[in-house]
Amino acid sequence: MQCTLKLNMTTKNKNILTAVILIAIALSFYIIAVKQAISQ
Amino acid sequence: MSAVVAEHDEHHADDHHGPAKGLLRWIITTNHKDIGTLYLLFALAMFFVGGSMAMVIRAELFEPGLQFVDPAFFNSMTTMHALVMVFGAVMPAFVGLANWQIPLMIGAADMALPRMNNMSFWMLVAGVLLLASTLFMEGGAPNGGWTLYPPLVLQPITVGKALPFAVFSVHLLGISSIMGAINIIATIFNMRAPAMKLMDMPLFVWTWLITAFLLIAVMPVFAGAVTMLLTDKFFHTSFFNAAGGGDPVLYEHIFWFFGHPEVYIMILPTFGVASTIIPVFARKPLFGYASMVWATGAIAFLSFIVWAHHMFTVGMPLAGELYFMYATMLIAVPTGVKVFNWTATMWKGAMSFETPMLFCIAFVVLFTMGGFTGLMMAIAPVDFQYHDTYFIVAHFHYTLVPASIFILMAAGYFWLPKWTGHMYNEKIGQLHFWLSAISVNILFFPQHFLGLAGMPRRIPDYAVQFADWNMISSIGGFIFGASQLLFLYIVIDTIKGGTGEKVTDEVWEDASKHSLEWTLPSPVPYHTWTTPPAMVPTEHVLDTH
Repeated sequence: MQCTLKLNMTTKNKNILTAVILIAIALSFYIIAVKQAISQ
Repeated sequence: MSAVVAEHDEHHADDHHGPAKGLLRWIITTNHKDIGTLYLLFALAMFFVGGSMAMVIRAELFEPGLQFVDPAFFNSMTTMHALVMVFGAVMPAFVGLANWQIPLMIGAADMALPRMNNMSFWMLVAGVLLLASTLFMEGGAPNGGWTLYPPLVLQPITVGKALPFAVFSVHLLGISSIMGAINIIATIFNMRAPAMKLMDMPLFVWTWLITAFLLIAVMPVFAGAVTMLLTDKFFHTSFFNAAGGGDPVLYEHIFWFFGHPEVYIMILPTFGVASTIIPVFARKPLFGYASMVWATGAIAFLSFIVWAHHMFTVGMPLAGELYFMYATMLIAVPTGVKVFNWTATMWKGAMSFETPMLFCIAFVVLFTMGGFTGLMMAIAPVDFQYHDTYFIVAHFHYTLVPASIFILMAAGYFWLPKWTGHMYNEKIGQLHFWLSAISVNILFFPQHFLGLAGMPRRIPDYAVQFADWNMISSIGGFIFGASQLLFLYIVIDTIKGGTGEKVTDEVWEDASKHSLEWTLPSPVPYHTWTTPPAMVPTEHVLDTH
């Protein structure tokens, strides 16, 4: 079976927080693009 | 303190630190090296699928008149060739390299979000297979060009039943790319060895960090654009429908806001690999490390504000044309910085010319040619002559084939010995290089002449005045296509044992001065950097200290 590499919690939380922030940025670009089209 | 602790799963006392056995290993793997391998092999397979489509195109264009395929299928081939090469081959290949190399280069045990890493690979496979499935649908695959411009792409004759499948495929590919980008950013920011500062990172890591931000910013915009195509087609909206108060030009603006940074998504990691390989074979530190980083950032920034140079002919106000013309020309400055830095790195170096270096040198020369034709097209009034001609086809193939593809080949030759522990056959590698470097010019250089003489792109038939150069271009295409089989052979041969010569940990002379991966054993063990390295090589950043 596979060996698990467990991150310590601080790094793990940082990774998840980074992912959440980046997803928010991605979503905001999606919304801006569509909103721009709707307002035309 | 270490960011990771290697730990046995308590439920599995028979843990052997290795991968799962059999096929399941590749399906459930969360190991960055396994996922990197999957990405690279998938990209290689798609390179041959997309390449086969190119062979169909070049066969049809060998002579004037309709020879082999009907025009609708020909248009499907041009559309699918582009989509498969961009989203199935070049982008995944660089993500594969990122998966393999970034953790090794920054001293991280794995990618930051390994399960998401697995998911982003399998979503890519689903997306590309969905796209490929449209080839077998009633009406055939999308054939309105990879840009999917309305109103053409909304006509029943152009898409048949394929549009919703192509759109959903783009969504899957976009989500996959965004997840990959998130993973790369989180890994670089949070998982670096404590000793490695941002300005100590190898250029490949820097270029990928910046590329990942580009992906996160522009893939959602593309997803928005194709979603609006979908609602225009099926839900009676009129975003791009003039009859309903919409504007098809709006689609072009949104598409190219994605499309231009997309070009740099494919070229920035290319720059990163070249900046990694050239110093090793020049036996010198990279010239101008800090300027390379800033130039990459500058190119990324400029890529967001030049999009309308793809659409000079739609009828913009003069001020708009002038702005986009000058902004586009500005990109030549940081790109020039890079080309001069690569040249200065080689200057007075103790150079040797193994296959990876040959591909890099060809890249510097031929990419510069592609860059120069880009400058020609940036001149708005002149672009009216070039627009939608084979000159454009020649330009972007010079920036993609002898640049991105050549550098991917170089990366394969450079790192395969490290990954597998076996040396590739240098003679066949050199043969592959020379056949590729000569044939790629026979293939694409005549297309400049065809474009300047007025031959439009995306047509299955043409006037007889274009016959000679088309035939030469096709011959170059067939030689280039066939010579890539040598690369396939070398990859398989190297994995199976190569020359039989056991490579050292460094593989290339003094490579460990340049980057961390060369300090690891060859082949690289399944788990690496469970304890981060205490020191990092500084050879490549000498000029910053």
